[in-house]
Amino acid sequence: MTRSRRPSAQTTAVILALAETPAGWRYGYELCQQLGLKAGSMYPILIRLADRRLLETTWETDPPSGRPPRHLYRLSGPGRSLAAELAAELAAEPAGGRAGRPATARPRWEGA
Amino acid sequence: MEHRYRQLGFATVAAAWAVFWLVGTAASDRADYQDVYVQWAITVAILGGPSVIAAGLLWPAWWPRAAARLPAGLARLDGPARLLAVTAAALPAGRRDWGTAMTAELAQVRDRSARWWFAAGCARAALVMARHRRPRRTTPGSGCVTSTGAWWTTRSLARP
Repeated sequence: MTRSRRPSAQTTAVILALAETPAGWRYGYELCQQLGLKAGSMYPILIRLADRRLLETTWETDPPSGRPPRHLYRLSGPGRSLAAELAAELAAEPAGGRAGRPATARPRWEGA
Repeated sequence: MEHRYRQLGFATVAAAWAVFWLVGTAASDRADYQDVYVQWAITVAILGGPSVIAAGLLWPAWWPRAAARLPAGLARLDGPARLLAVTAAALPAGRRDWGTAMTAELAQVRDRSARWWFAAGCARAALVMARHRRPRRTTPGSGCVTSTGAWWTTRSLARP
């Protein structure tokens, strides 16, 4: 898969966070808390990733009574390839560059 | 309810316009400043008027359908849940499952301020989604209308 444009720092952080447990399903608020991202940034990123078939989505099948089922996310095959590619790019960068930044995404809006 | 919201909308526009007018006339004591202010106010009214009229015409078509999608116990919900319910109801058909996803996530957030932040973030995300879903042809179309309006107004005002 060839990428036309490098994902933003926030999108990269979301992809790499999802890649930490590639087989596990994650939910939106959990990702927001992990990355320090606001819902207003997180959901557009998740939606774009799902639109581009980089993300698989499903609904919680057995929610506790009294609360609605959650929407769950994990990387698809192409998403995992992209995550590996991004992780390799970050590892190849010099220590003072992008790789030297903390795992939390910058709290500002950027497109994917 | 529709009637109430429409009245509220018109009252807000009228109040904003009155405040704008009063502040402008009070702040400009010289006659030539007042002339410039009046010209500027007319320009704003000409350019903004069609948007207000369009919103007034679209509202009756949009609101009943959006209101039908609101949950039955809306009045019993707290502020963030109500904001998110309205946001989810306003989403385009292809994005409504994301509104449900956000609503389900909000049910997990307990802290009151965190609920507000989450709901406000989701409302912003919904705005972004709605903007991305808009057909591209409307952007050049509205740009042409605005440019023509601006050109016509400037030309009219510049004429001695």
